[in-house]
Amino acid sequence: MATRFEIQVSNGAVTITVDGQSGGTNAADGGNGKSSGTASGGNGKSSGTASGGNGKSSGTGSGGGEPGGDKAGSGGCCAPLVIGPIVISGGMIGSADGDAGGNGKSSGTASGGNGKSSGTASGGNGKSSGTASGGGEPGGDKAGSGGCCAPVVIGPIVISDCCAGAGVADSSGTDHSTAVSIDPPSGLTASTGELGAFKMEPQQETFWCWAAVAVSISRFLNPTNAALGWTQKTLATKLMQQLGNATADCSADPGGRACNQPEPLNIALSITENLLLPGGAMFDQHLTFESLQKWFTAQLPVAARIKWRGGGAHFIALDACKVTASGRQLVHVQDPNSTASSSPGFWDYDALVEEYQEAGFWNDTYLVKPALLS
Amino acid sequence: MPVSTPAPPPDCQTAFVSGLPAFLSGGPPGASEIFVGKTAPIPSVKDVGLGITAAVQIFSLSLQQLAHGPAAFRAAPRGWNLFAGTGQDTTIVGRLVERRHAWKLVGVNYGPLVWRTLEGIRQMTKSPPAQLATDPYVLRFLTIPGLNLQLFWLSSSSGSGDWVVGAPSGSGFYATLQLDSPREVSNIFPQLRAASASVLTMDAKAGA
Repeated sequence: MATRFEIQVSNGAVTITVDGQSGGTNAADGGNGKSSGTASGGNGKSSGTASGGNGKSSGTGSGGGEPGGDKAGSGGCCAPLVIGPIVISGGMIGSADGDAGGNGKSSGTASGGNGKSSGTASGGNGKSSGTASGGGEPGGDKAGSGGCCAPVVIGPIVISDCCAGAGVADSSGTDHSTAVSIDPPSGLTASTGELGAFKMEPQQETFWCWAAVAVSISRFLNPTNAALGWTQKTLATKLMQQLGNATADCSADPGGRACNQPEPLNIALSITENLLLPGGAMFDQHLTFESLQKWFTAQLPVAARIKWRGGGAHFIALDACKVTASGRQLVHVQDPNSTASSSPGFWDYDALVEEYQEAGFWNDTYLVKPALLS
Repeated sequence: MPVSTPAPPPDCQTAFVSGLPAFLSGGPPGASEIFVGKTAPIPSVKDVGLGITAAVQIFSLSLQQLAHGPAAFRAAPRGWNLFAGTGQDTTIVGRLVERRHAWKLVGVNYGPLVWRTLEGIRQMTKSPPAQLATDPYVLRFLTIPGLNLQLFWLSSSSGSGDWVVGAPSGSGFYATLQLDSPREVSNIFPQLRAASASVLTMDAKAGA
């Protein structure tokens, strides 16, 4: 149910809309909902709450919450939602023309007011962006002029019986990556011989997803090259030594602290000579479905880094795609983790990109090639 | 006392049954597939059937929640796992999530661990471990993605305290955490919290 509040300020008005979508049966698990702030009298790119301001302003949900993920829990509500105090700085309150008002990017503060902020009882979940009070950022995209002014503080406003996160704020950072379309280099293909099915090795140690993915790709792309012969243990040893631990022996003590560590996949794939160079490691980017089709047609799997919204990350490989009769796009995921939910299987492409396992998103991409090809 | 598994919403079941064929081999005609290497041994509709053989609600905990949140499982519901099929190579599990008030099948997994997990659910509900024999519990999945863990979460219906036990897995981490048999949540929480805090310090481009 949307709740709208209009707050009179000086000679302007701020409207705050809280659009909660509560429901479900597990009240203790919190609710979800999108709360958004609206600008009145503002101008330019204003998300969150700004009155008379100009440029980009963004707010922060005071309900706390996991940045990212606007699809968190379900369930009823909950604790009171506290909005504010809202601090509008560097803007000219009530100015009908924001261009003549505040300067450039003014980063206002609107607790609870901005973007997709959805909650669970154990911590809100949603996209929230920065908090700042004080003057606007010089050099904004519009060269506002005119005056300002002392900060205007509105609130705090307490709304009862509404969804609010009350718990742990999760790690910061972006919660999505950019879709890119990259074709395999002309002539690059793995189809130089008879390829078996791509088979993902289970990761042998708790934090060895990078080793499992790199070794699985190496074995698939170079099935007859025994000289390569990487195992997760030999690869881990080599990688640890390359990172400065000259005495590491991950065959002798794979689960020890020196070896059982999260590591970057691009380094592991560089060691196995399977990382496509240059540009094979693509950070903050995922492939479009059409691009995936081209890599699979060339018989080349694609590796991906899933960034968990609540912290941590995990590597997987993608080795097939399917367009259903109804046009739905599916991707076959090979996950080195050993659980039922990470067993091989087709996933909806959009779910893989945005909500893999309902907990993470496809953040980075690794393009590969057979070893000994440059 | 029994360990129960509540039924998923009817619309969730409908979405599973209607969506499942498209994720399996030999699904509706008109689909196109591209596989790297040989085609994976995905079960067909004929292998699996469309009958639901088990359903368990999924909850998840993030590393941040574990490392810095209250010392209790305040996990968020993340949809349902619905199983179909009964054999080792003919059992699948579907992932159902609610999007804009409609249930959607977004993923289907297959393989030996899926079948072993189905067997684990059956075992848990028919012959629960001795520790769980005296009080009523609801069986849930608890996933901790950042730690690569999937647990059976026995949520107490009487307030007597929750338990967890590892779902079938090939990972040695479960043995390290002594999750081969049920453990009280209050007992295992410090270990999970320490492991979470450790993983949170990983390099920005690393993965686990």
